[in-house]
Amino acid sequence: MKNLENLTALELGELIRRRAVSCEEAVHHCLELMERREPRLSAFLEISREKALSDAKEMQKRVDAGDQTLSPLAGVPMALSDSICIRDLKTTGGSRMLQNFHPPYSATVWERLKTGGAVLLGKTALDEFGMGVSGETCAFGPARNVWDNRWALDGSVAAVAGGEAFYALGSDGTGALRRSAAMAGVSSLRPTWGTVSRYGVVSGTSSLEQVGVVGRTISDCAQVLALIRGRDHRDSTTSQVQLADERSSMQGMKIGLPDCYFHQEGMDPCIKERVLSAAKQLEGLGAVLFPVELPIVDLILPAYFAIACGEASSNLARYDGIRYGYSANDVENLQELYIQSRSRALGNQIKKYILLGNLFLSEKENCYNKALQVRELVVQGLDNLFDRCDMILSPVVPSIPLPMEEKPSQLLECYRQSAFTALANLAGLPAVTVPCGYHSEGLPISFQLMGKPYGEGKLLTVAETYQQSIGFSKTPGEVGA
Amino acid sequence: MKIEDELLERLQEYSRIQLTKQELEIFPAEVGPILAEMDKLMSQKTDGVRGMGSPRVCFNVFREDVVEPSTASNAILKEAPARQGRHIRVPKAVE
Repeated sequence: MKNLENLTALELGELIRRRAVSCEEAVHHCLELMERREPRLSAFLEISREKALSDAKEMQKRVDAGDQTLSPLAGVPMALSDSICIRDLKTTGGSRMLQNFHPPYSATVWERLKTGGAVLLGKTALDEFGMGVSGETCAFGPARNVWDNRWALDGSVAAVAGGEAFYALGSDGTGALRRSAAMAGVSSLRPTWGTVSRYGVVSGTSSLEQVGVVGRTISDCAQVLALIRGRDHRDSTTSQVQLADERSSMQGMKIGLPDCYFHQEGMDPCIKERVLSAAKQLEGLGAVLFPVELPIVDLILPAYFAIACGEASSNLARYDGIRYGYSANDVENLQELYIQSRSRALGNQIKKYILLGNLFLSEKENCYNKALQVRELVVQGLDNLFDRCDMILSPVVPSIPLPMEEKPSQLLECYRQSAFTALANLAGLPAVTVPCGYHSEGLPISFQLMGKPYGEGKLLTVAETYQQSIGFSKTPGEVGA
Repeated sequence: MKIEDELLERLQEYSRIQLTKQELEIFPAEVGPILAEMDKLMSQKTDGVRGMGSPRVCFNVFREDVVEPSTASNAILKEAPARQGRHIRVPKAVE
């Protein structure tokens, strides 16, 4: 069998289009790697082996017939987070509450990928309802980091970083996708809120989450975005605004460096050094960098968290043991049905989010409304900031999270580790993460670019130019085994 | 902001969740640092600021008032934990 491991999704797509590699060969390649690596990575909750092979056969017929509707990624094997519904295929949202749930509909993002020729390998692990640091709270066990399996990862990231899938979709509700990608040496793209339909995506935090893309390169991520974006009449929050995703020149690109991020307490010096080094490289490529101040920066994280908890408590109120999901069957009345179903099937972390959410929504302090007001102030401040610069560059995380064996409080870890990812969630900004080096502890490090709404084009210009200039490694290869 | 026992009892009631004894013991201390951050949030002056429920302005959507196919009821009912014919079965709600 051909060794396809060092190819990007676009490169594989081109080989498939030219019929130098068949769709079935590509799937067999991935399945063989999954057989070897899954015992260590646990990226997948469900592997669709037979379906992937039969879909690959069908796709090959379309390739052989010269079907012009196929995308540049047609036939490329990929993975979907288990937060994304596919009709009649088990979708758990990473929770015991949905462990036997088979949705009666498919997500728009999956329908659009399928039209473009995607071949699904399976569904990946995620934090329960997408709320966690980087994959630790999945009810069925976390995916592991291919670089060092003491650390958990979002399953979509683990699958791409481990070479098992050529790209994947996940949900970026609390930044777990970007944080995971940063620690795994792969690229990620979180589009502007409202750019990609959330129809068929298991809800966690509606105004904060957006479907994100993980790929070996930013160019791969960009191509996937081109397939999944756009107005959807089934998701009224999708925007009519055209995405400005055309590439521009790197020369004179204005990039702001938020001083407060780089000098905040607890900022890991190794991460800071690598990210600032990458910033220097961008300067060498023609960008203009200067320090900037973020609007009410001390309140971005608490505002984001209050909204996250409030929305989670509201969204997860639907799990009542009645219409779908886990249901306690040893109860005597309706109240007990609600309480026992939810208490037994929802994970520890999610319960805390729900309790805090109800606190913020219902008590007289009313943090939730205050958070919405702070969001408006932040968005206004960012409008001014983006008049002066095209994007902001920052680290993705302030420090390497604690390894799982140290059993940290996931709630506090999630809060702390969201320091630099929260802004994009709160203000609905597009963001990319790009690998830029390695920590002294051996894990990869990435930098993050956040742009103005619908400004994906400039982010992609900078990220692609950087990746092409440094000759990065696309996969970690046979790390550890 | 602090979480006293009585407040925690009410929050469990609102949430329709019953924490275990172990969870009850650690919850107040665990969320303490986060609640301290919320005190900072509450001190921000926001007079005249309406607030944004979502990061972008959203508009209501309408469609023509014509009959369109909806999800087949069987497809929905098959996910119900307990059903009776074409109904979802639940414990008695009113005595």
